[in-house]
Amino acid sequence: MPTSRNFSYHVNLAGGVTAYNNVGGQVFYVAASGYTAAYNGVAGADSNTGTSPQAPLATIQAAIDKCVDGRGDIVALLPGTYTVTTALTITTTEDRVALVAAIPLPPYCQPNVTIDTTADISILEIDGNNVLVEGIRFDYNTTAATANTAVIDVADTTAVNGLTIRNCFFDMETADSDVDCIRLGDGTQAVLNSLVEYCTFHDPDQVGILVGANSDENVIRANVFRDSVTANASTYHVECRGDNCLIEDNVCNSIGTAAIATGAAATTENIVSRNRIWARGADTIGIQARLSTDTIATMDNMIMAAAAGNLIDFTTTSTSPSGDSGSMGNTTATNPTISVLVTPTVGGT
Amino acid sequence: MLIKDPATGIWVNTNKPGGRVFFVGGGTTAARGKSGTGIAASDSNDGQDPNRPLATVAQGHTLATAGRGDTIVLLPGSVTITAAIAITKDDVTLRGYEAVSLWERPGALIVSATDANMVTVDANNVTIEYLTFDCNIATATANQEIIQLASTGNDTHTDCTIRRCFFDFEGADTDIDCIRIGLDSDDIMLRAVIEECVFHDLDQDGIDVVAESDEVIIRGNLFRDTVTANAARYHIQTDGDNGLIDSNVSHMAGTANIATGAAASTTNIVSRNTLWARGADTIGIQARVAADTIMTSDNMIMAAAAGNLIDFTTTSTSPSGDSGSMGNTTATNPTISVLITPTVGGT
Repeated sequence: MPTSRNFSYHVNLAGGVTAYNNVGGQVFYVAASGYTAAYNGVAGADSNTGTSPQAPLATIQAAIDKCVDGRGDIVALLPGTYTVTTALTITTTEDRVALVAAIPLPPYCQPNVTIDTTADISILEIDGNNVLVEGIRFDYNTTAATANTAVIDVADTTAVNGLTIRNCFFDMETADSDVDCIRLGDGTQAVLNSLVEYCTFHDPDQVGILVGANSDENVIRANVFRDSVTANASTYHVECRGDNCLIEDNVCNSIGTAAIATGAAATTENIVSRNRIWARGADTIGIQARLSTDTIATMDNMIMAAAAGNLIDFTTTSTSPSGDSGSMGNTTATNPTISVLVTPTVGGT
Repeated sequence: MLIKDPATGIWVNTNKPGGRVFFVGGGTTAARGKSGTGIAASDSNDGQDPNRPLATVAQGHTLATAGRGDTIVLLPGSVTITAAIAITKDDVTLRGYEAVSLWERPGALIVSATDANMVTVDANNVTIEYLTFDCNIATATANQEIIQLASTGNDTHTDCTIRRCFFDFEGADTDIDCIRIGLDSDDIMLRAVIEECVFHDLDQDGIDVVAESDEVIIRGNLFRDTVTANAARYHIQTDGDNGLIDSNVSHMAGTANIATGAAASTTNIVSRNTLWARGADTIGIQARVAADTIMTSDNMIMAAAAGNLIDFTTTSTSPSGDSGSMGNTTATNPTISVLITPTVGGT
């Protein structure tokens, strides 16, 4: 598979009509406290037009509210930190809105735009279609959150189609232990045909990406999940309860229940391929099909686990895994020591 | 990338700097900008700015000049067509407003419920990219296509590319193909490239390469089947020669994920694909006649039955001596118990 990286937006910092790769749409700039643009820029204020870096808005929600449904409008966040105390909402009448950093950095870097909170909220709720979120650091510092809150909560009130979350950084240090990073669908409302790629999940506390039941045909690829930065361990880095999803090319360093899991409810036809997984906890499973009725293909993964039984587990609730499932071409090792693999040498000889 | 030249106020596709850009409205009105207030799409507009979009892709094509590198851009939203978009001018690009990433669903849609091909291409160096094709043709003439490359005139065309498009077949009839490269041995498309597209819920064939349409490259695509009851027949089927089918991901319950040669085809390479042949009789890679020459290498194939991995001999027990298969990783109906001892709770 190709591992293509493509920045799909380019904000016109000269303050022109549109974003170059979102033609037809309007750009609304938002400035963090203390930011002033060059060339007669003023501080952010929601009484500004927001249509140039020189006259930015002060709040992200004000910019979202200015977007026209379906036009391809962009909310471009100028560098800095934005603290929110209520959830940002992209509603059903705000299709094709892009919420992006005005100055994008390459994948896996910490973006220069941070949205943070210490409140018991989701930072971002999305109910519009074809929404793009790109190049933003989400810093979740809520120490007493409602159980199962998600930093980005998609499809709370209606089904969502075509969401993309790309090149974002989820910083979960100091957050409560039962917060998810991204929830695609709540099990009733579905998220379909969506893509999460090139994101970093730093110290996730519960689930990194939760794909809800009925949320099908989603692609989760090329993300990095790193656990055990603090004492909180994730439960799953990716938990997929939907069907027909592709989970590929991710890198997981997990001490939780499992790095990648399918099916709290029965799921079908998910492919888990080419992931690099280190199942570090004593009971951590690399890839887990949680129900015997799950159908899942695991191919070409690299899994290193701490114990013999932790590599790929199809049978936590049954000893008869689905006949339709299979696993092949994976490279696995349990607690390998270097001496088993190579003979140590000195000076390259 | 699409940019507006600050000196001239003219929009340019930087990949085709000498060409004109025409915008087609997708149902919304463009933002108010320096050049004035956006107005609704109309074919009486000049289409040269998002604020003055055309209403139809066909009008964009009418205004385009062959051989210059002109670009037709579909703005956010959808256009519904009732007849095929016929591209007959060389070097034209038809694209969505946003340069989407690999396997991302573009927000610019072309929708059809009419019993006709959606796009026909009878020109050279045509590019179609960053578009979602939503096929809702519930009752279609058999073997209708979404995109037909080389459809008429007994001509040979070359070097067309379809890139990062999303083909949505939910709600479509059971005998519609997605992309057909070449109509027959007289209407030929050479050296086409199909890359990084998503084929969602296919109904018959995903990509069908007709005999004489040679040197086609099909790479990096994602095919997913059985979203609804309709199952595909082949995800990729080629009767052309010298093709490369590489790095695709496919899972299906039809006849075969990848097949060559209803008529004899030669020297096709099938490599680095990830295939899940889920049906009881689904074949991972199939050479349909013994005279095919095909090299299969470095594929991952998981199949439901022992005989379904790579099949060179459906019509003969003497496959071409020139063919070969090597370096593939295959397994038939593998159960995890073969690989590790099942455990509970990871202990």
